[in-house]
Amino acid sequence: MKSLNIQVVDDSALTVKKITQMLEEMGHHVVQVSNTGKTAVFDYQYRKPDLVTMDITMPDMDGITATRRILEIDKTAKIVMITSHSQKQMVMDSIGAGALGYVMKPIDPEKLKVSVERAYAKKVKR
Amino acid sequence: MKDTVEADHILQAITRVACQFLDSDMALSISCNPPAIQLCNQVTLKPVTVMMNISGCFSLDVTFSFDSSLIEQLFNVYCHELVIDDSERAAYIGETACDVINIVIGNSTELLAEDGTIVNISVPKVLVDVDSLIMTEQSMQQAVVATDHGDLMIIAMASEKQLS
Repeated sequence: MKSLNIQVVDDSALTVKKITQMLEEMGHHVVQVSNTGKTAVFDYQYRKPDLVTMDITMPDMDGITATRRILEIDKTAKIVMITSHSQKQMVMDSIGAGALGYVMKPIDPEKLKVSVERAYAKKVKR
Repeated sequence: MKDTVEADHILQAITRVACQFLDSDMALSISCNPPAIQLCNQVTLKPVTVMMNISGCFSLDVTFSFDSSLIEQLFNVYCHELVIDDSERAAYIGETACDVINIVIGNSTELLAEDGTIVNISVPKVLVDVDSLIMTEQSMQQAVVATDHGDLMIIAMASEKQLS
């Protein structure tokens, strides 16, 4: 698949480092890192990445709200949740908010790869 | 919110997930499975300690306190593929502890969910310069997960009114 410009949203510096390394090993470019939900929405508007990876639990705005806000700005945005939350209702809420994939922490690089590829390949009709 | 919290049930679920994570993902040998749960009103903390709040139909603070040898090993395994400068090492050891509690508590939320109520978890924080936790009544429960690289103490604290 083509190399994607990706925005990584997570408040953990260590998780950002891990996700960035995994994505770059897949041939993608991390063009923006955002540490909170609010900055993620702001950063998305001027970066317009091909895809966003989004944590759920973050300071000031959670990832589900940030996903909704980004999709209000750009209905074609492609967002994959990366979170430790295992609760089914949280998965449903993320998909309901418009996320196209859900990857559990600890992150399996192969699952991340598949989820990113599937999310990017999806034809979005919102 | 519920008037009482079944802290031992919650702590059992969390320790079970913690043991699975330490064993399967971090390649540690767990020497006591499942760990015994004890009621207490005072706990002396280990060198690296992190805390999170779980809320939804109840509210509970959960603390993970790591022996130095254990958190060092977790850092080595969790970060083995990353390039980390010596100057960043101390900060990333704290980040490792935060990621461990976040993964374990997050992975426990499906077990803690009741009636589809969303279980919210807070951002983890490192407790700095805190040597012990003291409550006036026996309103803390603790379990110790013993591994081949040291112990992880898991402590659940609800307000006295909520604990059952």
